Amino acid sequence: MPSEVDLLRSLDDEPRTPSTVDVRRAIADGRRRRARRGVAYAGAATVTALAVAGASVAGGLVTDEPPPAGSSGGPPTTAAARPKGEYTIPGTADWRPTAVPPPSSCTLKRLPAPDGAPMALISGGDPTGHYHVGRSYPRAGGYQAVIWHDGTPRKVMLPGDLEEALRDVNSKGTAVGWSFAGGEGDMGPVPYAYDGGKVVKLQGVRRGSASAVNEAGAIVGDDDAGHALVWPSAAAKPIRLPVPAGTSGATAADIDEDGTTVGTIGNNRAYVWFADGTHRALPVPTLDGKPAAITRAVYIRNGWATGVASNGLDAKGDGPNANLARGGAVATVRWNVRTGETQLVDGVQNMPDATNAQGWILGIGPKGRAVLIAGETTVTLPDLGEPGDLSTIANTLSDDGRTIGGQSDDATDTIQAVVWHCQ
Amino acid sequence: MRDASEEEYVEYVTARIPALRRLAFLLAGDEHRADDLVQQTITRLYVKWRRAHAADNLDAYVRTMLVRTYVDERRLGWARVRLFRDAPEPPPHQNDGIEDRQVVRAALRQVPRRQQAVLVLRFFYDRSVDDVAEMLGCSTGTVKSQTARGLATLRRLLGERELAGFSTKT
Repeated sequence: MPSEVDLLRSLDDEPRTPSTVDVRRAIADGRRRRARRGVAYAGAATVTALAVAGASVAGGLVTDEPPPAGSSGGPPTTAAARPKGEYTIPGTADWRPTAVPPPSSCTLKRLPAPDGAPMALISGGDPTGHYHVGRSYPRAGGYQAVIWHDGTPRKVMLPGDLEEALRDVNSKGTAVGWSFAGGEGDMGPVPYAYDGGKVVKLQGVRRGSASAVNEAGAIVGDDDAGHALVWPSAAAKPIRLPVPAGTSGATAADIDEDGTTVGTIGNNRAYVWFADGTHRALPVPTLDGKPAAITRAVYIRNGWATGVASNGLDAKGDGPNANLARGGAVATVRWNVRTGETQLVDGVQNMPDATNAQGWILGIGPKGRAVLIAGETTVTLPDLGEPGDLSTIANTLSDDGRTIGGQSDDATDTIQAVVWHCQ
Repeated sequence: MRDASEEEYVEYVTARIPALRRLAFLLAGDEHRADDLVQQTITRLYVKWRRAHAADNLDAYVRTMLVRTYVDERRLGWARVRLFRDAPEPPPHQNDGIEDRQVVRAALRQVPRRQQAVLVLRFFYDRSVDDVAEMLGCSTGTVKSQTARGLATLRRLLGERELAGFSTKT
């Protein structure tokens, strides 16, 4: 039996896709940054970017029907209208978010980190834009989970000193995430919630992680044994989500307000679990004329799931789809989980970074800069330092599209937590 | 600025991209994120090129930049997601260790980021404890303890399945 060191040495380190690294782009980005170096960074820089109207539309429809003209991405109305109740629960089929026009510009503000930590980032936010979660990188080393309320940071003391992250938060300030715990030979992530000002270890699993929380406080995630889980609340035992027989491994990535949960089964198939107990795979879109080899659902909001599709290892990314032009063979996908309508989304490189109830998407645009795609409007987000590949990443988008949270490198190339206010 | 210094940069980076992609791929486990890591690293290298190219060991300097970028993990939301499936199913009669390597790769992804970096640098790249401490900006004691903890975790994760058909190719 080989030792684990032998096995480490035997790892195949050859990437299986052609390089997309671009020296010329590095020089162009580097020149801009170099030009800025030495110029003192003046605190909360406020930069404004203008919208480019009509620069991006959802394309590559799989179903026969195009999306409604000027659609903000909501599900299409059904022809045979059922009797409508006095009210509609957010996230259920008849619910509509308050319609808002796309913003035309966003201004950027750096958020403070606890204890003046030199570096921090935001990885999750609530639908109202008041709460954000992420982590800071204290001077002494390691990671510190952080929650910001209207821009004011507070440390969240998760047990363990190895690596930790908060992934999502709701408008009541309930946040969820994971922290590595354990010693030699027994290490792994442990799922936590931060609820009512207290850190709670989620029940029913020894190892696992929590990925998302909805407004009702239901939490989704997984254990380290390959089961997708829902914790009905931070204090409840988890429910193991069912999968088809023979499935190896499942993860739950996000949960809608009505409890609809999306994730991935078998590490290769986007999947949806409905609150009524039914569940199914999401339709497989066509990439380069072939069914995608791999699909993953990562976000859900207002009945629309967002994720990625890729066409496996033999793809060279030279197909007709613009999304694949970067040698990618990975495309952003939206699914209406109720109707099965499936769309490929243009305008972001490979993976989306957030969505909201309007169906808008945050991601990295073709020039490596963070963009908001709101229907037919694309807004390029301003950067803290000089723009460059992935130097700014937007990770959360409020339902009204007015507050965006994320990270941006400052003039010294250090990651900073930032919020954009858009109008 | 199209001077000799920039030509040197282009020449150096172009030659090093394959090696940097391999390191990034070992760490990130995914081709897309590996390329993102390399792109960010060479952009930073350009900014610092005048100072960097005089470094005693430029390769080590650039590796350090890449490893630190990984440990910071810029795109946290996608950190544990793989965009491609692992290597295609190996033919059943061909025991060349592909499957074992997939298991090791999967196990590596289950330890914290700094430990991943320590394990890859120590054992795949044969870097000394001192080197790794310098690259990660931590003490040698931390590197030693992270090595022990990381290896023990790998042992446990690997022990959970039978390692069949491994041929010692080192």
